[in-house]
Amino acid sequence: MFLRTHQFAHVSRSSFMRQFLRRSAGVLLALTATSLPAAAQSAPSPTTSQVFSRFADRVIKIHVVETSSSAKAELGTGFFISADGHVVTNYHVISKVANDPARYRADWIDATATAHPLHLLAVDVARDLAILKADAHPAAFFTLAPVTVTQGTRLYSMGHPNDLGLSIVEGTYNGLLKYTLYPKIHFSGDINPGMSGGPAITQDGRIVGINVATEGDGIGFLVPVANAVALAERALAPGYEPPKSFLTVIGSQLLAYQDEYLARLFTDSTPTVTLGSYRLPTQPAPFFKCWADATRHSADRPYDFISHRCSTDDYVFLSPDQSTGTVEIDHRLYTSSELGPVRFYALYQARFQAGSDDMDGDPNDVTRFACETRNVRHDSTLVRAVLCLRRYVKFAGLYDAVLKAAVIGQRNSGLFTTLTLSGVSFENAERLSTRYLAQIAVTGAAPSR
Amino acid sequence: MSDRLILEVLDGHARVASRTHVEELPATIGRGFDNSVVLDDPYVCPTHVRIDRTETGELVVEDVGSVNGLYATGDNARVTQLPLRHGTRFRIGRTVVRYHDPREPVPPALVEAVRPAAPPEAASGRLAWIDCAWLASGRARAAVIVLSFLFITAMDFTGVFDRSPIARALTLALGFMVLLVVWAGIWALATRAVSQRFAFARHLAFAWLIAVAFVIWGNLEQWMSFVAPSGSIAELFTMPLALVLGVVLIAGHLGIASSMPRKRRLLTSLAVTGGAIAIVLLFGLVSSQEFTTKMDYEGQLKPMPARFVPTESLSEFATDARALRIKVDKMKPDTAGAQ
Repeated sequence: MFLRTHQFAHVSRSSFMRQFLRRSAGVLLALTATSLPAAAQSAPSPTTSQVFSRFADRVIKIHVVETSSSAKAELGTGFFISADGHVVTNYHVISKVANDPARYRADWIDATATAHPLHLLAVDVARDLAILKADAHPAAFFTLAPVTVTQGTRLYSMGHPNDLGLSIVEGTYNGLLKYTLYPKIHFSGDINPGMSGGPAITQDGRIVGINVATEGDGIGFLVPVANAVALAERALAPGYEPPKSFLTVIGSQLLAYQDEYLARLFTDSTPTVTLGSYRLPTQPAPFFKCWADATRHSADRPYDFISHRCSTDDYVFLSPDQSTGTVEIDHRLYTSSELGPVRFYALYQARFQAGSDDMDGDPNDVTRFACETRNVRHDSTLVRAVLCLRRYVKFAGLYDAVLKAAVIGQRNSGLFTTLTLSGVSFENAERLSTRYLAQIAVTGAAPSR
Repeated sequence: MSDRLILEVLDGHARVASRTHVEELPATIGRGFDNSVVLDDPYVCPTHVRIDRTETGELVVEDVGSVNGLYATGDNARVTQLPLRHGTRFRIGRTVVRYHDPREPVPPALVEAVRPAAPPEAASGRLAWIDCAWLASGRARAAVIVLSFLFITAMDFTGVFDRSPIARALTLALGFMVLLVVWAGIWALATRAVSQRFAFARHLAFAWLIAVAFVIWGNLEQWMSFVAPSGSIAELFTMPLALVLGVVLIAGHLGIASSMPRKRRLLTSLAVTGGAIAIVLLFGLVSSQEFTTKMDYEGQLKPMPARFVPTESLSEFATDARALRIKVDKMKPDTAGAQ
């Protein structure tokens, strides 16, 4: 039972990390095209070429251009959704335009390789979508409408992988991701860098999702079309004006996002996990995946170690340097029947001070961390609690908060836990930190000193 | 009136190389051995100048037909004769000679700045303990070194948590010993330069004493930070304590090395230690301005029974979190606010 959990966890964790790396690299930064696994490609059915020829003219290549040097900064895909030239793509394709409109602009490239301007109309940063407008009136466009498809439905993803020219990839719809609050479609097919923002359609041209990310090995992710429908309803409404500052809009979207997201965490029905003589919160919400790992004492290690972690596949891409919106919990239990209390606490302190993985960050996006440490007693449980906080520079009212708590007062067992909240309001950080601390308890199975 | 006079031959640094008492006049200077003052200078004639009194009783030096002449040193002008007053210098060949009037008084003796060791001081005064006079005993020194080594080994033992703690602790303590031997060796060499003895064992024993004090201080700091993590109390004590230990360290070594009076030693050590602490603080200040993604927190965990640990409630923790938020809101991007 334990082994199974571990294996599952291992796969999940590594894929999570890969995805994490990809987020910061940007899905668009052209990687080498040689790594496409040939085995994953199935032979195109006769209709693939028909689908391609029918719908290719609705899909466009998008360049984000650095204005002073006219150099191409990002490459992505988009598609027309109206006769007035409205275009849907991913937010992450045009994030530079939203973040720094003075330095970057977006162009779309037509079949003759001519560049035409695109104007940013609206973004949904949490769902990684953007709507832009071309000055042209396209001959053909997709109609955005909610669809229902069943698992196994054949989908065709279109886009410009690595700037190699418009491509079509066959794949299948495999339902929604399990470990996200905001739904994402699992698409079995090779989406590659550059295809971001392109459509994934059915044989008859209905949009099912928008290409957003890949994990490699034929595992791709799509934003469900319903999200684009909602955004388009706002952006195409009569009288809609694009905001003067997209940064302000992104900031308020992030605040709303984390409010909605965190309201679902650590509710009264949050399950607990018992590690040694400690009871701790786990699985803050159903869309969290949790896994455990353990290291037994050995020839060179006179102590046992158990870890228990939970995280989700949700994240929000803000810019190539910054992602946010992740929540993780990480429990670590150390026990030893061999070390006396003094030497055990030397171990416990060393591990607690070493902390966990540092969070990424760029001085343009976040401040340094400031931390406060307190010895806190709740009921009969005594913890050393550290709260570290850093502020987002571009988005007022948003913080990264890291809470670390080590249970003290036990003779030769120690448990510390880390709650990582990125991109949250201070009120949520405070509320969740205190609620989290309140849920840590010593069950009394081990003698208290 | 006697005609005694003194002629001094000066070296290149205007210091006296040789001094000749001349008892009668006329006197001569030259390379020949029959002169009153004999010079080895190859540019000087066998008999180069003569010194005598004029009819008016004035003392003069006179060129007696030399090849290279007589020069007044002030303006470097060639003269045939030059009146001599106390301190007058002249040059012949490549040699400078100074006339010294034996009747001129010499200045009083300078008072020696460094006094010899004053035994009464060492034994008295409120700060006499700094000198650790008892380290003069060889047995005391050996005891200090051995006990300190054992103490450090024991401290290291409590800090390692692998399977061979004794070996690890001994290795760490031996490494520490090597450092202290180098440190004491440097002091011993300095001592040798000042007072013809090394006093190595005494330096080493003293260094061990202070090292033990530093280790105790470091642990004390950790425990204080554990018990009172808000920082204020620990910070209030640790810096002054470090200053005191640093002053005692330097002043003690100086006392072993030299006979410098205690007050001067203390002031010197205070300046050195204060300067070192200031540099450390300055570096801390600079690095606290630099951007980092690291979290700097007080992660001390100590095996203290729960009932003795001062704590606060969850709501107090939340109040402190709000203060932290205000601090973070004041932080400027790129350069962090004061910690």
